Amino acid sequence: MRKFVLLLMTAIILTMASAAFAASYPSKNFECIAPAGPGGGWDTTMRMVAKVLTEQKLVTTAMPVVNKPGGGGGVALTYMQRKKGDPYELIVFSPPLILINLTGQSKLGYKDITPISMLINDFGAFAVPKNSKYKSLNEVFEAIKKDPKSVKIGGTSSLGSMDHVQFLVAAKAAGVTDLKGIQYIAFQGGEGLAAIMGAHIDLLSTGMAELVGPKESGDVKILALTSPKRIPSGPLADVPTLYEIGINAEYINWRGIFGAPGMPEAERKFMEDALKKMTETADWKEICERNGWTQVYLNAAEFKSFLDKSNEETKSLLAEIGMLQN
Amino acid sequence: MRPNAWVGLVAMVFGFIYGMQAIALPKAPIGNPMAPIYFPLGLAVLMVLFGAVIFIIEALKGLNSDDKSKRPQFHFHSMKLIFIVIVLCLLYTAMFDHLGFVFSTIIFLMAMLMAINGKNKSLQNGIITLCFSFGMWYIFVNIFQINLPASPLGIF
Amino acid sequence: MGEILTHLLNGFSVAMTPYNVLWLVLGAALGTVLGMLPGLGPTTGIALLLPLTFTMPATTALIAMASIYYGAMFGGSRSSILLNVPGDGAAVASCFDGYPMARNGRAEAALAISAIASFIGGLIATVAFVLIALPMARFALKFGPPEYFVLMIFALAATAAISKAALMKGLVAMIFGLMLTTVGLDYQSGTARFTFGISELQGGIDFVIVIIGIFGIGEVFENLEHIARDVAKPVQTKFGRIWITMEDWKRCFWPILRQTPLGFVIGILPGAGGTIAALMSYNNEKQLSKHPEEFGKGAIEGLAAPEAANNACSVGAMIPMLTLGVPGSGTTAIMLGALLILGLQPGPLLFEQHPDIAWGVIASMFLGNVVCAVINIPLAGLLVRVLSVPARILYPLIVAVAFLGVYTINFAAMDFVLLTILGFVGYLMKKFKVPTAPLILASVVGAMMEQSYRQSMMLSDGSFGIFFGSPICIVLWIFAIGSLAWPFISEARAEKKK
Repeated sequence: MRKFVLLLMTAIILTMASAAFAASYPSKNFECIAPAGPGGGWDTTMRMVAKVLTEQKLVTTAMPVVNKPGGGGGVALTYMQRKKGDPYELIVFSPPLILINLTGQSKLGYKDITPISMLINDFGAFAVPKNSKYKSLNEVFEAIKKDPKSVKIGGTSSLGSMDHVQFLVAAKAAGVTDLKGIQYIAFQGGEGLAAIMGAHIDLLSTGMAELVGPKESGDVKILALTSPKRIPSGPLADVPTLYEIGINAEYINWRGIFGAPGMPEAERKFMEDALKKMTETADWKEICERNGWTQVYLNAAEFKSFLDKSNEETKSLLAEIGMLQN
Repeated sequence: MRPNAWVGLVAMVFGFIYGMQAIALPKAPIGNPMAPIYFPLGLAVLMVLFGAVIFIIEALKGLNSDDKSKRPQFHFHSMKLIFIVIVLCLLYTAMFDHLGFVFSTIIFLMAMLMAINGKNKSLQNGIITLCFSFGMWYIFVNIFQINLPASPLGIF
Repeated sequence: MGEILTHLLNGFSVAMTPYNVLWLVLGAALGTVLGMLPGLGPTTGIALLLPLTFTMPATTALIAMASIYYGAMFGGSRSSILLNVPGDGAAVASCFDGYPMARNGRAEAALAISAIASFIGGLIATVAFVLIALPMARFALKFGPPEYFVLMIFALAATAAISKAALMKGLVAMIFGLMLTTVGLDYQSGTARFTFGISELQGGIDFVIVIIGIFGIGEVFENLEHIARDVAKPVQTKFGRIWITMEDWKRCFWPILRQTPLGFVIGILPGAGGTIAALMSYNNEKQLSKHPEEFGKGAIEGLAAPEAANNACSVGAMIPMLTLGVPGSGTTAIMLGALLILGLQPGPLLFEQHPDIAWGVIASMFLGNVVCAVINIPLAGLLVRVLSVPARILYPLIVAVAFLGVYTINFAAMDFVLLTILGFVGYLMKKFKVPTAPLILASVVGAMMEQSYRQSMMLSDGSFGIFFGSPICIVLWIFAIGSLAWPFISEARAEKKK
């Protein structure tokens, strides 16, 4: 019954949208989904995008943000499947979208939603305690090559998630062959930071923003960032990229906006343009700077091919460590 | 049977079922494949063990030798009311995302008040239900800015 | 010392501007209200405020967030005392003796002592913050996975000991609580356990749902039984002044002073939290008490101790966040995020580069405690009147509020099913006299206990020696064994005296 009502409504809206002119979209309120609880990266991004889009009148109807946490984004993905073709559903995602599908945490993946634009890049960092015997990341990898058990790697998310994978990407490029033997210990949030500052682990793989404080206080040394280019200014400007220390790898924690599966072409195009205009506003630039996000823009087609490529790379990496499920 | 013997029995059965499920858990892809299973399995063993100890202690005292008036009482009317509320809770779960907060809460709260407060107080029940449902919607959505599921009608 | 005083006075001058005081009061009031509602707590409150803080000066934003946090800690125990429905996890220990007090017609004293104990606990902890924040934060870093594992063992041992009369049933409840924590994605292996293919369960069962289910909904079911048999307790119509007697005060004085440091230390450790602090201090006080048999039946010190510890804990939790940039809880993690957006980098340098902000916030802790106490005493006079609502109307409303509150934890209606099932389990546990406290504590510490055990085993390549490898571990083991043995020792001593 509910499905029927929804279908009917969708049908009415679709006919209205296509029969009239494109300007009639948007004609009702959006539902902007943050696939996590309030306060995190996904939530902040979605709220900021909704805020700037409405404040700059790029979208004239209301854009309330709804939280659908659970399953590392899997719950929200399932929810989106119920909204097939509905152009009023927007959702923010980042690399876990690919990871939860490949590791079998969710049956759904990036192919089950419609990419609209990539907006932000963020990067990972590898840190050691201040008195560590490792002076560079290359020394860490040499030690791992000799005896994987001798180096304990910590991360702030579970096995097979971003912090783990970004370290594997670097290790593989550095010539480590026994990726499965790498000792990855998962911590939750702040406990990982505390563990590296207390030197309970040898290296911490996490997001770069989290490490700024401990770096400035001198408790940790950041050996490298996973960004393709050096961060131009700020406290991380003196940290080399992986390329600079001879490791041919990068890992991008991208964030982008998606629509429901089967989002109609005209409406997708409208949102793509609106987001493009949004990234050019001073407000958005200021928000990016304040949050320490690197601003990028990929349109729907570029975003799609980026995702395809990233999916293949991650797939082969996870296959190598035996975590590939789908 | 002695009430504690029931506790022991339930613990044993639950521990056993949980243990069976634990054995069937997926193995870890990296490192010791059994690592995610040890802890649950240990819990299952302890649960069965503690349950058995309780049961045996009670059995030694004589399973039916206790004072029957001190056993937990389950009266028909009480259990009926609790059962009705449980069913309403499950119905509420099923309705919540589909009908939206306001309408599902009106149905849920009204039905609960009818069952608990009495069918002869429809007016009181109705006023409380409407005030609560719309009031909470207003407070959460407009003041706290927490979005609750809306109905298919588009409003509330 | 003189330098600290100068900084502090400077801090007060920053915090005392009308604009900051306004936000302090608003934050404390909002926090109190959110804290009272089951399921809603400081984390939600601060997340809500987040967009607003972008427009504020950094000091104001931080003051507003901190005051929500304290307000919620004050407010959480209101519903514990009046309805036996804990407002948040940390308020669960306030049910044990607060609710019996209310049933004995002493709701006014219970509400008063909870505000007073919270106030004193918060105040002492703030003084401690001023004096020893940095060294304490450094000390907390010495806690690695093995230390956390033994700490969790200590916490569990203390609760196992509390239910001496029903030791075996208490152990069964504890194992059940630990079993609940095995549901969800296993961090170390990335595999899903006991999720039955339901993606909502991958994040695990939130312990707040366990607490509200077992206590709150369980309580409702028990009362439905009374309603059906027409033996529901009569409503209270006369209310006294919200205050305590001199004798109450004498009984609470030492428990408050004793348990405040415990709460403070637990708060500083990242990952431990208010719930653990409150439950441990309750257990401690019961063991130290000269009349432990009164605990659970309305002993006022059984309410005062966890309240003081809980508020000291929330002050302590700010320390690793502000001095090291390490968030120790969900609430402080969101605060840290907000600070970063405001362009502030918490850490030791915060005190050097922005002393006005750092000390302004510390000063606001003092003010926040005062404001919370001032708000809460008159508010209690209003809230206590909920006891005059007939049970037949009150309990359906409690169910509806609990469901709404729990919805805001995961935004998933699935959790309602869990809440209902756990409520029925809680009801049966009461009927069969199975202690619930071990279940609650186990559901809070379980995940951390297993994860820290496995982290330790990976660090040591499988050697158990790591659990005895540091002085902190040894001390914690001694505490754990001591708390298990204490009831027997004190019993033997009592025998001797006879």
